[in-house]
Amino acid sequence: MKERESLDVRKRSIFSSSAESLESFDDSVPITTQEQLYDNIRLHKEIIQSVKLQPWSLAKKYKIVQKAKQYVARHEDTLQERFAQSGNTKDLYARFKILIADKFKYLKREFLNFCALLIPWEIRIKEIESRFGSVVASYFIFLRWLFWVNIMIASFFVIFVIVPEVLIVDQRKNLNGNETTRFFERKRLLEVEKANASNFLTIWDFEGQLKYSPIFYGMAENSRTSKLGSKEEECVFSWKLFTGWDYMIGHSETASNRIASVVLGFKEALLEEAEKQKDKKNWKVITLRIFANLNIIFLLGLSVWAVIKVVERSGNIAGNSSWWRRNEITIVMTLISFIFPMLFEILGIIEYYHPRMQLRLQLARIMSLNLLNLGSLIWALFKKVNIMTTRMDKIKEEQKKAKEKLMAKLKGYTEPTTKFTPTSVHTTTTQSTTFETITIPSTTTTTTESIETTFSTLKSYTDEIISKITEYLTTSEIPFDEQTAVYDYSNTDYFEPEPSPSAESFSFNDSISEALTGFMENMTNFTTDDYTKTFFDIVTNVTNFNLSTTTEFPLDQYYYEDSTEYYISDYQPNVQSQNLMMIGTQTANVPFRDDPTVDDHMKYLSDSLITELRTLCWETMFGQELVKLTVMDLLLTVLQILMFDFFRALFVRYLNSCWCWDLEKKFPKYGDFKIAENILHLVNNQGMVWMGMFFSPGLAIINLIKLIIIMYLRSWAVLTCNVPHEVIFRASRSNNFYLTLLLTMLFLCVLPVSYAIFLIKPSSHCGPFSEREYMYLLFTDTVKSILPKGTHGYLRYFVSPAAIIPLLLLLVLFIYYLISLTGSLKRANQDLKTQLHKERTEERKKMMKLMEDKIMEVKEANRLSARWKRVLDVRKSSGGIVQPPPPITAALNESDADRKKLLLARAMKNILRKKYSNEEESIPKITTTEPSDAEP
Amino acid sequence: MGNKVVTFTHEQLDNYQDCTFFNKKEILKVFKKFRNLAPELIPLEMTTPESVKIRMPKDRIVKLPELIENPFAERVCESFSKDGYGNLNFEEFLDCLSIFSENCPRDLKIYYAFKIYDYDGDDFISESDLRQVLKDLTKNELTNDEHQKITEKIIEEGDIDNDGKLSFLEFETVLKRSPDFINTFHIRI
Repeated sequence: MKERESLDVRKRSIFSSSAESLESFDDSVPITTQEQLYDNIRLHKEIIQSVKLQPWSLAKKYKIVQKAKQYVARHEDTLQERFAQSGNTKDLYARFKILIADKFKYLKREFLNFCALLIPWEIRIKEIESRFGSVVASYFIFLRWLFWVNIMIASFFVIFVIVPEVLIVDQRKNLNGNETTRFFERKRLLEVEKANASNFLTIWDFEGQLKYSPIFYGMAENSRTSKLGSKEEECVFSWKLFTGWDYMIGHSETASNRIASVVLGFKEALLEEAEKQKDKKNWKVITLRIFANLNIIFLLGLSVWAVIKVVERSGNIAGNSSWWRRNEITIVMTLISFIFPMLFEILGIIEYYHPRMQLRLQLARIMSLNLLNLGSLIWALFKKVNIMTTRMDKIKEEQKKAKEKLMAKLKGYTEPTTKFTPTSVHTTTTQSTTFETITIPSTTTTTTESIETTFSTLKSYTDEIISKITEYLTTSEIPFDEQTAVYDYSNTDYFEPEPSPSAESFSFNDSISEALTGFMENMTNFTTDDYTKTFFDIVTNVTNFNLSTTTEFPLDQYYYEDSTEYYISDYQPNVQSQNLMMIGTQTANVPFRDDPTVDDHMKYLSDSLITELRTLCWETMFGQELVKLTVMDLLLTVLQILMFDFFRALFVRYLNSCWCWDLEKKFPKYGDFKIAENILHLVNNQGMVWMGMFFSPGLAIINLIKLIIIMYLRSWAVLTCNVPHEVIFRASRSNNFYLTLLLTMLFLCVLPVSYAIFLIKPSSHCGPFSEREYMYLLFTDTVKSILPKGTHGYLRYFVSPAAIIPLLLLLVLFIYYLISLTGSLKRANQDLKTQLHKERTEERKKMMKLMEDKIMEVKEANRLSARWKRVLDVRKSSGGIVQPPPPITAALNESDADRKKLLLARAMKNILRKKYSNEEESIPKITTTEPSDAEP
Repeated sequence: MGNKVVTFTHEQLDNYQDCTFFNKKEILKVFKKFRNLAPELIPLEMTTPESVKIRMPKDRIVKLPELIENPFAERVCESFSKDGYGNLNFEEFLDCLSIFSENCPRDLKIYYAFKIYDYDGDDFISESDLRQVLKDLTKNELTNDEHQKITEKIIEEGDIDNDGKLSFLEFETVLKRSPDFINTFHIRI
């Protein structure tokens, strides 16, 4: 060790004095061996290579290099060629390596710069950060991250839900031609949304994992990076001061940003420092905090009470009450979410916490407030859904009843045809024969045996009917009441007993089925007044009736449809005749499909009923409600930014000169960026989207657009209208906290959605779930149908409490394990920290010792140099080389050496170690002088 | 280099390359920058006497685009200048940019950073130096009280031998642990 040190010293002294020493290299130097020359040249080459690493002025370096080169040039040719060559190739290779390394470094830097350029809004956020501090920037970073999450969600929905849906809708349109377009044009958006929702429900169970995995992945990543960023720094202030300025900055705006950010950084650091020194046990502060917390609990209770009251009131709103009553919930909630945060803020100031802590408390409080709001909203919505589903059930029940009744009727109607004749005979003979003959073929068609023959017979029968009717009209003068009696007999349940002409048409329709549907169109003009006239019209129509359009009708279905229609017309007696007209037109023109869905079914319903059924589609209602909320929220945000930031800033700025007090300093001031509210606004909004996208997948895209708008608007408003907060603090680990909020939100938002999937009956008139009891059954049924029967038993086991409870237990255990792991890691971390601290103090002690040594050595060196001078003087006279280094340089180099950080030493250490033995001979002047001097 | 007017001799250029972290191309670029600051002062020929004798005034150098926004621009000039007034000849200018270049090792940079921040040149960064640095860096946006606190904190952090000022060794220990220094103490030409 000592040898090496002395070697270093020696080497250094060569180097430090080389400028001078080299001057005296000349031909007179006796070079005894080739070996010595070789080493000498090598030394000089090393000097040339590493001189740039010396903290000397260029002039000095230049001189050294010049001398060294001269020396090398003079002596190199005397060296063997082989050596020169090998040296050259080596040199070349080294140069090449350096070049490559340089290029790589440069490219890497450029690439990083390029990457930074590609990150959206990076520059904008950086600018905001430099002016408003890391907290405000953390809001925007959070916003940007949410943006990524939403892009993922939205692309998922677009690919798997919206695009397929659009394709299907287009197909349907092409297939069905003009008639369905009417429906699609009118209800297009509604249709799409509804179908999307139901489609989404279809894939929900399959893709559930897919949906959530990116979200959680993203979260994990984010928390990791933010954790890395929040590591404790050691020399905060020194680093801020000495590395605060980026020497690369050449742009004035960047420069001012940089300076602002440095200033902010100092302020933040000072605040942290002050926080550390704050007295923890201050009774006054503690009482104040207790007081504030009590107040906040009271306020929260108040808001709960208000919301519950309002929701309860909303339950018994009768129909179209006043605007206030209808919007009571929204208004009260908006007021609460507007006023209460302000109160919380005031209470937060009393508490005298560190601003970051204050921010978190504020966040937690407003969050709970928002959750209350949202919870009550969901509660109200589910209440509505409940009402809808019960209404739905009632309708279905009645439908079913009526159907059964009708089926029974039809049975009784077709079977006892023989009975039919005698009863009708006793009223009018002509009529009875008509009915008898007609009903029999119609029942045969129900079996759909031979349609063609049926229609030919039908045609003949129709002709017969016409002739009979004409006959009946012209010949028999039967009084109305008698006539009704006949029809009443056959259709007692359907028709009102009063002798209305529509009753007649009904009977036709009912008994002859499809053959007469066409003529129903003409019942528009059907009134009691011109009864005879229209009846003639009917007759003519029936004659011209083209049966070809109806050939496709599966007749049994027709009966089924018919039955519901009749029931419905019964259900809404007011619109009876109008309904019938509709039924007529539609059955005539719309061909039946092989499996009529609910939508098709609905086409045969009256407008009012369709609307009612549509409003009863609670999935759509739910989605709509949330879309509405999202869009409304965006509008409100825009308005709020304009009102509270932009116009306020304009007002303050331009009216300040002609106002009686200082607007900028006193009352309105410029707005500051309300970080807590804004973060929660984002979290809230995201929660809304998570809840709503289940029912309307387009919401994710809407939200994406919303986030972009908010991003630009907010950043613009912040930069133009806001002033930095008075107290600025570092936002370390804040991002993790926001994520905690977001996760809580996600969890809470999954609850109502899962409730909807598992416990609410899907509406029967929209979505493919209409036939199912619950939505999730689609999944279970599909799985059951796909998997072989044998596995069903296992499946049942896996979803039963027998498997789920142990699974839960396992999860709990796992959580426990993780918690204990975290605890131990924390402890280990703490240990390492203390260890590091000890190391540092040790290091300090060592440094102190080194410093003392250094001072000693400087003195020594001075003495040495004096001695060298003497020696060298002697030497010079005898053609010596080394001149003593100037004391200051020597001292400087000496100090460097002691730390073993001298660059030269490092660069040459290896060579020196190798060459140690050689050098003693190769540089005799120095080696002889030095050891004798340094090691007395 | 196929310049018509020979700015540097070949030997000179070679030697500059050995003394700095630049290659030939970069050295010529540096010269161009240097000359552009005051074309009327600098001849195109830059052989031995000119490269040393002709000095560029400090107030011209701080106008360099790379330095114009730098709050320590004057200190940079002064640290590299031999005449003590911050006027630089070409070699000093080259040296300066070489130190700030990417390839310059950290230890060398720290040495010059120490020189730059040592305002009064007493080989120690004392409290008054720190205050001066702080003032220049923050453009006087902090209060005196804050200045006081910050300088105290810095001395507390870095001072090992408790003499109330930072020596070069102490300065180096602090900066060596900083992750940012090497990235910020850098000028790209």
